[in-house]
Amino acid sequence: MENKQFSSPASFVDSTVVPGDVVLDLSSMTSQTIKLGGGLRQDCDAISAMKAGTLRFSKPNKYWIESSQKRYVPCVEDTILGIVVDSKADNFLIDIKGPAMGFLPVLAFEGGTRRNIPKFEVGTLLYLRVVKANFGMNPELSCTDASGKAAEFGPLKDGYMFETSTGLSRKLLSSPTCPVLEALGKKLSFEIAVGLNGRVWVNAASPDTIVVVANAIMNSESLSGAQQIIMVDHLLKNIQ
Amino acid sequence: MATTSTPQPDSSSNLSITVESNPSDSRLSELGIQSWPKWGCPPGKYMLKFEAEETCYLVKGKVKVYPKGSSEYVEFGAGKQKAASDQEGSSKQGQSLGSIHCKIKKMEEADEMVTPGEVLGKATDLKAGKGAYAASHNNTIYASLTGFRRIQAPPPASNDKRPTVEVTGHKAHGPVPEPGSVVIARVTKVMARTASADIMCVGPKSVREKFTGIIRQQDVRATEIDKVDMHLSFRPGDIVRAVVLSLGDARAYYLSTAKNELGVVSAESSAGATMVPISWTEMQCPLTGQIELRKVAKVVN
Repeated sequence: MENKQFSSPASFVDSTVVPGDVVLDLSSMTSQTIKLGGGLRQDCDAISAMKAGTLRFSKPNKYWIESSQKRYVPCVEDTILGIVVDSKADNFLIDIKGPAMGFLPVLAFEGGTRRNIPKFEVGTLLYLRVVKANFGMNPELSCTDASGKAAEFGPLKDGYMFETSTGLSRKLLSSPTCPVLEALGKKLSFEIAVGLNGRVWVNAASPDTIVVVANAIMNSESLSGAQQIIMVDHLLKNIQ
Repeated sequence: MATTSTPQPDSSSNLSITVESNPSDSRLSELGIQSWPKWGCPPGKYMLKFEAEETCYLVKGKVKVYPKGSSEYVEFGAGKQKAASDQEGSSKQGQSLGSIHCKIKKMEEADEMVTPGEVLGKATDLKAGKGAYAASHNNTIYASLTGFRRIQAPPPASNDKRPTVEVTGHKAHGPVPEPGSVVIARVTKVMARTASADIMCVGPKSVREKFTGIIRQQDVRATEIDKVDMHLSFRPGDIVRAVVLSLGDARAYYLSTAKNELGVVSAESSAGATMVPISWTEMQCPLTGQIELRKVAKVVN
């Protein structure tokens, strides 16, 4: 069985690749700048896959491999849910389900100065943004957006947090709205925060609602759009 | 021809002094006189204690040896060998008439290995050098390091004619970074405001034990020190040339790369090839052409 290597790179885009597959041949694409995201590696003129997943392409020149797993690899400008593990003099240590602890500087809040440092207990759930994520270093996080405003970042009070895979988190955040969230939103009123690191937080007026929403989301991972709507109807019928 | 005299011993000790007069050259080379340590002393009375058999070759002078408690003595002059054997250890008084030079000459390389606490000799016979110390309570020299025992002849100009015993070969005698010395280090960890590195060489010599250094954000370069991004200056595995600023804290030396000739000397790209420096801040991988940012040292040959 010989390796199929078409000269046009479009053939591998949106299809499943495994580590070792040569997905792009640079000798056929001269005078182009392409950006390689996670999971791709350059060996002279051949771009090969390092992860098993789907090759994705976004205009004008970004290629990356998308896969769904439990472990999160920090990436700049991701919004995630982190749990405070420890607080040091300069920063809080945050668990983000990744290979290393994240550092949240003590001043990375809107209007943050040395005099009004927030006191987070160990175990506090925070909605955060990744500022710096370099290989080998601890990722740096922040509770403000790029312009310094709070913008919904910070501690999440009450509610219930559960863990999912990274793929499901991305589906929940995709636009147009994910079918399961749309179906739930038509009947129930709740608040939700999705972290790209595989954590989801739900809050609602009554615990019943929270449980239904959480179960619906956890069930929807392997279902198609139509199946998700049917599943949601089923769950809602049981509680009403 | 040998003359022997055995003075009456004390009731408790069993000692004998054997004198060999004018030993022939072949006898001298048989004993290996040339490799014996040498010491001497001005005229006077000395207390000598022998715990085991000792052979002395008198190069110059005259000695009268009185075993303890006895009024009899053995006298011999230059060119004579004195072998004193003593089974229980007692002290003898020796009176030297005229200055003595005994040949004990510097020992060869095949020395014995000693460990801390081992007895190297007596303070009366030897001086404590590097790696050895003299305990005042019993006038003995002990080793304080692990290594080989070496004896240095005393400098001819000094009054103290005792040879110096020292312990060499220990890693504490390897080069040690000093403030101001240029070191080569390998970066081990890069953090938000510091990078830590293992010091491998001090100047041209490699170190024998592990020293850790820290490069702080303000010491990476000389200009715009508050806008330094550590990740764009160093990566784990880079070889850097730095200068030692100070002894730093208990954990690490403080290093600085804030000069043109200091910084990353050799780095590996993410593809695995050794990168080529192309500017003060950039290095390029020869396999993939990717450019990575580093604080590059300008190597002037």
